Amino acid sequence: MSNNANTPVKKTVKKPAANNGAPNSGAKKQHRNERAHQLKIYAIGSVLILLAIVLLANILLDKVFGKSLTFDFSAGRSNVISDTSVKFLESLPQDTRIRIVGLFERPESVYDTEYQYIVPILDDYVKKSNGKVSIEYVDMQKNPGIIQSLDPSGSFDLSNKTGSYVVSYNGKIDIIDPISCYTIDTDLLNQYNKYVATGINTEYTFTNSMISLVKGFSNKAYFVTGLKENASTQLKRILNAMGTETADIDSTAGFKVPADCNLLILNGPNTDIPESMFVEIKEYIEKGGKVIAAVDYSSDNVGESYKNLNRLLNEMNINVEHCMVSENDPAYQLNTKINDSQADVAQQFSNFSSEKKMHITLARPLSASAVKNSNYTTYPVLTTSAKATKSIADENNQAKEIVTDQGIINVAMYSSYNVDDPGEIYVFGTVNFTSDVYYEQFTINDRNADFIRGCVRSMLKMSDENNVDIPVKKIDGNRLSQSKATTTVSTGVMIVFMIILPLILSSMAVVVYNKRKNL
Amino acid sequence: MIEIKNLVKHYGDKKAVNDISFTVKDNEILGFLGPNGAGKTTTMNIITGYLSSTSGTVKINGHDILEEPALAKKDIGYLPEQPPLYNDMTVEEYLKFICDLKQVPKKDRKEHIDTITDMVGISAVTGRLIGNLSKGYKQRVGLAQALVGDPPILILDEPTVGLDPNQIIGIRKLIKNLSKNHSIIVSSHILSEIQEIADRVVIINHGKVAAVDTIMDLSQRLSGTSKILMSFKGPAKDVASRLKMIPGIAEVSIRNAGDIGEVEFVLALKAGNEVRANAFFMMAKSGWPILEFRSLNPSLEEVFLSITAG
Amino acid sequence: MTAIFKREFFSYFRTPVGYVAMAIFTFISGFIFYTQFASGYVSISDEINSLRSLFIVIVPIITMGMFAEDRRRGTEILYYTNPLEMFSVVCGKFFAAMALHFVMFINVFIHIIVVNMFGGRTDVGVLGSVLVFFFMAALFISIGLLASVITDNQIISAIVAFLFILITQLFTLIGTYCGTAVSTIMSYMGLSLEDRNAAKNGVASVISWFDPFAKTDAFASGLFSVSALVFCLSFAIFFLYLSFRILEKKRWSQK
Repeated sequence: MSNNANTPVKKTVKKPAANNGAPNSGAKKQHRNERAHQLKIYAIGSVLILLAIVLLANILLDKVFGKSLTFDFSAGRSNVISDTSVKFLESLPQDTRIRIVGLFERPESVYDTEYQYIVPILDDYVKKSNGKVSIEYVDMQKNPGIIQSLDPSGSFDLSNKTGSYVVSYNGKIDIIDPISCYTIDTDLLNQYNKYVATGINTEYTFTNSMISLVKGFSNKAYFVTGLKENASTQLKRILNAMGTETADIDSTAGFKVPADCNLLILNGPNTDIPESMFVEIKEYIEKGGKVIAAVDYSSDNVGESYKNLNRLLNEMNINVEHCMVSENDPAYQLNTKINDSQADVAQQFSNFSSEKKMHITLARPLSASAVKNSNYTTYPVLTTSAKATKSIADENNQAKEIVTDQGIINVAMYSSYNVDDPGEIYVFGTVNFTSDVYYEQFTINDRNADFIRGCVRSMLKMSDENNVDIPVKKIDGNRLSQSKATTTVSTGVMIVFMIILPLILSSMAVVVYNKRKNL
Repeated sequence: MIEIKNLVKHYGDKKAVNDISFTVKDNEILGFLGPNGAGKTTTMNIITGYLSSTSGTVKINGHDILEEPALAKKDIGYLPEQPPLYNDMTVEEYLKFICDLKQVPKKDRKEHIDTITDMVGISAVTGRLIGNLSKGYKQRVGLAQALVGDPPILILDEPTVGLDPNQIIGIRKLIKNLSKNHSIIVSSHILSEIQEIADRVVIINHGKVAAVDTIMDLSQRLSGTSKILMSFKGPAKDVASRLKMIPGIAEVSIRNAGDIGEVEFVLALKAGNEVRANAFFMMAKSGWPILEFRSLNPSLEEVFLSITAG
Repeated sequence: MTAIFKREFFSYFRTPVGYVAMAIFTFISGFIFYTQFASGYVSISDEINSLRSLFIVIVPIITMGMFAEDRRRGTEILYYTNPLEMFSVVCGKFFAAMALHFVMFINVFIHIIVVNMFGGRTDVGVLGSVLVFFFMAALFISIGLLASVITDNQIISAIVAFLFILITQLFTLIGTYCGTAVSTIMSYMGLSLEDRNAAKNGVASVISWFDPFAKTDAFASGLFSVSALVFCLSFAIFFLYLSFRILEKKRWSQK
């Protein structure tokens, strides 16, 4: 035993010994308590200091640098405004005050709401406008005074516009419904009742609204209604954005072209125009009026030959035929369809759009009228390939009976009255330039929209200053390819992800448990 | 080398450890004795850095456990009262984890674990789940854990608890071997266990050191209070009065009176007396057969009493 | 830290816990994915954002045992008596839970591949959602870990973590209620409507400022905000530090 090496010192600690140690131990205790105390202060203090730093840093980051430290990485930078808008804002005098008011409380979370692509971009306006644009969100219920302050005359019925935005400049206001900032996938809406935006027009809508308010509307366009015509919301939006006010005018008895009408639009009427209208419009054009007329050959109007409309158009050497254009050149066909194709833009209209071919669907052929009126000069605007034929369609819009030989067919024509400041008309054998159906699918950023803008601009002698053309921001389609993602595949997805994988993992749990339990 | 000076630990008003000081020299086994609740575990937890002391210092090879915890803890292997085991790991996985904790170099790891498992006799169970092991094995895995990293100082809190006698002997041998190059503190509440292996003992009671002593001195002092158990057949009263007449017997107390006339007496002896021969002849003469003579180990409480009284 | 990380992370796979958590996550994410897939329209951002609501269940399960169980089983002593920094112990456990989330998240990566195989697209918003998922996971795990530090019982720890996370999910709602309450109290004090509204909005916006969900929503549309990420990360670090300090209390506590 090693205790032999140790000096066997008896160290029985008895009471006297403990007493001897007492003063010493008291001092030690003091020291120790102080140390514990210091550590405690240090621990609590450091936690509090860290909390303060965390809070301060976050408030500072959020309130001061929050916006400058937010980066838009989205495709098409859908949350920031483009240079076009920035330039417009810069062009405004420094004392310009444009007030944007959201008639609702600012949402804490915009994700997955219609404000998702609006709220951030409006903030960007404020950020980049150098004080010229302000944004506020006001709940009308809590602050009813806002209605009076924005619309003193009460002509806009703001109390029923909760959820909308109001752009206000110098007492003039414009109301923007959030839905007008999007183009919606109509297929998904119809099939699944699901609103899926395909494009974002927020910047387009707001910038042009500001331009209109600042510069004022310079023109007014009337849309003829009452003829089972196509819906024109998107075209109206295009026109509004061009500083052109839009209104509807009924076709029924007593139709008169209003005096302030700068542009009259017949957007795909599915019934013929009344005779009185023929007279009115003829006069209107002869007095220098501008008209856009579009018809097509669809199941809604296969039986319609547009007698009165043709009487009008024949004056201008144009005749709308009662059949369908079949495009037989595969190079012109879209998706190998004869009735959904491209048409060439005639040389003298080529500056309307950077694209040389336009998209036409279910078009009626346009031809020169039998009797030529020399007061009008007429040109083709859009033409087919040399392999097109005219045909009568069956109920599936397929060519049932071909009525002509192959050749070039006019799909759109232009005619003008031979005077200074002439009356002008653009006639389209397709509604792809005017109807909502087309623009909802292809957005108002499409080549056809560019082209119709060109038509309007040239007729109304607009300079480019009156509006800006901001590309619609496409939202990346989250749609699967319908040909690949079939029902069978989706059942497969269910089986793999909801049954097989969880089962494999569960059985691994059982295996591991059983294997290890007996180790 | 462990130096403990004036260690005090308060739990609220209660003083669990009250001014304890002692030193463990290199390569020495210190038995740390005390009845249950005396403050052994608390003291050991403070020495290993698990608990903080209210006052006093603990120095491990010159490093204060509170001021330089990393350096001090590096030198300690600790087997706590409840071995810190993960029931969901196998012994091997567990020891690898401990190697990670103690930063045993990767290349030496396997050899090191093999050595330790051999040493504590758990080589056969390295692949088994700790949760499925018997208490004895668990205790030895805990001991293995303390040995990982080869710390020069071992602190073992009741290392033999739950082991069967053979295993106890094995562990004692192991501790003895380890003491060649380790300073070891072994706690126990059983005196005899410590007597076998410790060089010195520290006895504490109610948080205070009752005695620091070498084993030899302790035995001497304890001999003054030895007791003998005697069981016999015969009339208890008569035997008692006859026994008291034998010089050297201080006191006779009856412990157990059996049905078949078998009686157990505890004989308290005066210091330095051998009374068994006298008692045998006296009993034989009277025709009362002695069935058993056995020395009784003094309980710690008695030791404590004897020490403080003496 | 790696020692603790390895032990904690692999312990999920030594017991059925890790596999069961993965199976549940796989099933639920698979369900969300399948519903979208069947409609022909898959937005992975939407899926990830829906999965964020699982935190309230998954995080308490994963974190409840972290320290509470160590204390019960006595293994806590290893952290104190070995030459370890207690903060690295906290971090090791934290990263183990993060890693488990990452493993579960592999499901979503598979979904992304499937979406791209079937003609769908994944845009930068998906990247944003993934980023947000892990930053919020960090925040919630640190909360769960703190709950495990302050309680001895696993079940109580899970409940505390659940409540903490529930509160963070409801900040906006709570803000609105508190605002209304303040406004009501003020009306008894006879203050004007304008003051009351100002106070109400003030209270509501201060409380809802803490809502990590509202802060990070814009990521799904490709709008990355540094301050939102810093918010999650800095509070995660704060909760980890607080846990560390509470564990370190043993070094000076007299109790």
